[in-house]
Amino acid sequence: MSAGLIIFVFTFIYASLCLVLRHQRMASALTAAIGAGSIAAFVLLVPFDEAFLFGEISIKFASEWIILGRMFSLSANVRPLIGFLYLAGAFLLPAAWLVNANRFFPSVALLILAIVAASLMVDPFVFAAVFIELAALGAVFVLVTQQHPRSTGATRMLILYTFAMVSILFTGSLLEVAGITSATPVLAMRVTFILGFGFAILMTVPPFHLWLPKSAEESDPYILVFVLVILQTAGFFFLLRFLDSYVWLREQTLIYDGIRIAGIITTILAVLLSASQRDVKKLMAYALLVDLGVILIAIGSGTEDAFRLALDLSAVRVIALGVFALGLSYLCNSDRLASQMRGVGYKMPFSAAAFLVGLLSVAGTPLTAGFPGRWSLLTEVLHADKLAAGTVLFSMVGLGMLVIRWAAILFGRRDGDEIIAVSKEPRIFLLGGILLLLILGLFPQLVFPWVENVASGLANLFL
Amino acid sequence: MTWLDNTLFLPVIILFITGSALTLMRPQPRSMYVLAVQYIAVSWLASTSLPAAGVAAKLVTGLLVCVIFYIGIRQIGDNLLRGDDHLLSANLPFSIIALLLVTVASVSVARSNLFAQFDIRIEASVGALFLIAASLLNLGLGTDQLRIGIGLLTFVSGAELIYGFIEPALALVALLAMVHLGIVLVFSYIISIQTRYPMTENRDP
Repeated sequence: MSAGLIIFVFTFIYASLCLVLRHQRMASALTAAIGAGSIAAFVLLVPFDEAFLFGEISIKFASEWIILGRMFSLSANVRPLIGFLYLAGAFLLPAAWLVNANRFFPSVALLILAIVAASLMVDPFVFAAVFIELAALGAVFVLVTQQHPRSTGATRMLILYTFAMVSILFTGSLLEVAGITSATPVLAMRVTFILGFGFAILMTVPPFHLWLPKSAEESDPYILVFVLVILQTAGFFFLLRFLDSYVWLREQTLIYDGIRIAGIITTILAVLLSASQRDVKKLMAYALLVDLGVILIAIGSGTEDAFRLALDLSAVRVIALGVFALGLSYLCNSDRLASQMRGVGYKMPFSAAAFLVGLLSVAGTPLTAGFPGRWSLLTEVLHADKLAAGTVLFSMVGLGMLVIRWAAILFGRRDGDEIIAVSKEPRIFLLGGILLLLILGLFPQLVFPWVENVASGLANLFL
Repeated sequence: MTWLDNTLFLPVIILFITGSALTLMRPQPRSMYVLAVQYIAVSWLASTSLPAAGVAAKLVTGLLVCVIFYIGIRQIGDNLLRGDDHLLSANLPFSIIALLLVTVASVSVARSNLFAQFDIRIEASVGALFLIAASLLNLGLGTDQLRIGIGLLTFVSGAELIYGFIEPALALVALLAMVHLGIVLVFSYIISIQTRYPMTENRDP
């Protein structure tokens, strides 16, 4: 039996179950989370291509699955990546019932995860571009809903992802057919440019971030974070696989310089833009960009340790952004503009705390989950590139000051309003998220060693 | 099929006509007829690079896309359908000039050696580049979902036409067919949502 087929079949079963349970929002979200978690466990723990006993039955799962002449392979180098994505989904999905999301969100989210998993399995891997486009198409169904019918941001995202798909498909073919090496500099430069364009879109690098603030305005923050985390992580893994597969690409310092400069520009721009926001939802969009910029700086450093740090940062962001967006999703139910949010923290203390602690973690403040990764990156790039190190520090200080500003707004004035009652379950999720961020800040070794090895199967990058 | 090869200038002309029509017309249900003709011409041109099964798949997908989109648009209701009286875009002179410019640009690029590495027929590259250019114009001019949807479908059709010469695999034809269907479902869904629910935020789930 093929492992790839099992993943798709079980994803479909869980998605159907979520569909059936759609009127019981908690059950639907928890089913989706259990589904994603169990598939992650299957991918990470079950041995493939060798028989093992399950009770008295001998079972063997094949890692390869051929369909329409193309292979979907669960090779050792992609298994941890797929497991990582499903675990990210399993972490984010349980709280989906608490936010203002569509009833179909858990089903569609599972299908998006399966499509992104397919993008990692497909051989040749350049076809992944089409699967990421399909995942983006799926994302529109959760971003635009009857609760959030405006669609400018989602449409912009779709247009940009379509451009990315085409440019990466062409680049992949150029690499295969034209035989590009460092000995063909003109062609190599052309390919690098087109490839850079495609990945800049997938990673939401400015100016291709334009859909993000608009989507933040139009959609629920938590849903947007889910979509962004999954799509950007897929783009990031795709980039790592490109770098791993092509020697000439890996050996071009220009590529790493370009990624690092893009990271520096993204970070500085996003910090400045987030500081100027009065709309808390747009603030989230730019905070997401700051986080992305720092990850790009890590990738652009071009060393194995920096790649591992980028993976650490990608893992921590799932938790930090999840808590941040969950708090924000509740806060936004009252108002969105800074002038209208004065004192809201007293009315919704748990949501405000989750929002602020999440933002602190995105900023990389000490004692939060974001700190170890930022600090390690700072020490990694300090000697090699002072500008990059300064940018990381700037992002930490800049976002840290924003937290103070928003704390002052949220807890600025108490005008005798009653606390808005939040039921027990949301409180558990909000407090649990805050505690998790603090625990991971104190004990990063709980997660980091595993995450650092997620991409170790890419043998050319991780020697 | 030699006779098809000898008449390949015909689909290119059809693409010029349909691409221009889709840019100049107001997006409306009857745009789907034009889009269907465009898909037929694209399939005709694709027959030079793809096996018969691939061409058939492309044609069936294209026609299916038009049917789905047509049904989706019919949901919009009276407002847009009343707009059927106005066949052409409001900013017609600008659109015509822009279209002429992108036509000249696409023909020039097709005649250059941009695709020298691949053995692409000149008819296909002219048709494909015109479709890409016209779609970019549609995306640039468009603010309504229908125009953007048509623009994206045209863009993918154009890119696919060139890509067929590079990678004529049936699997890729199938994947790109899914992209076409996905795009049309997404835009039909958006149109349907925006028709049924007013543009307010944070409605209770």
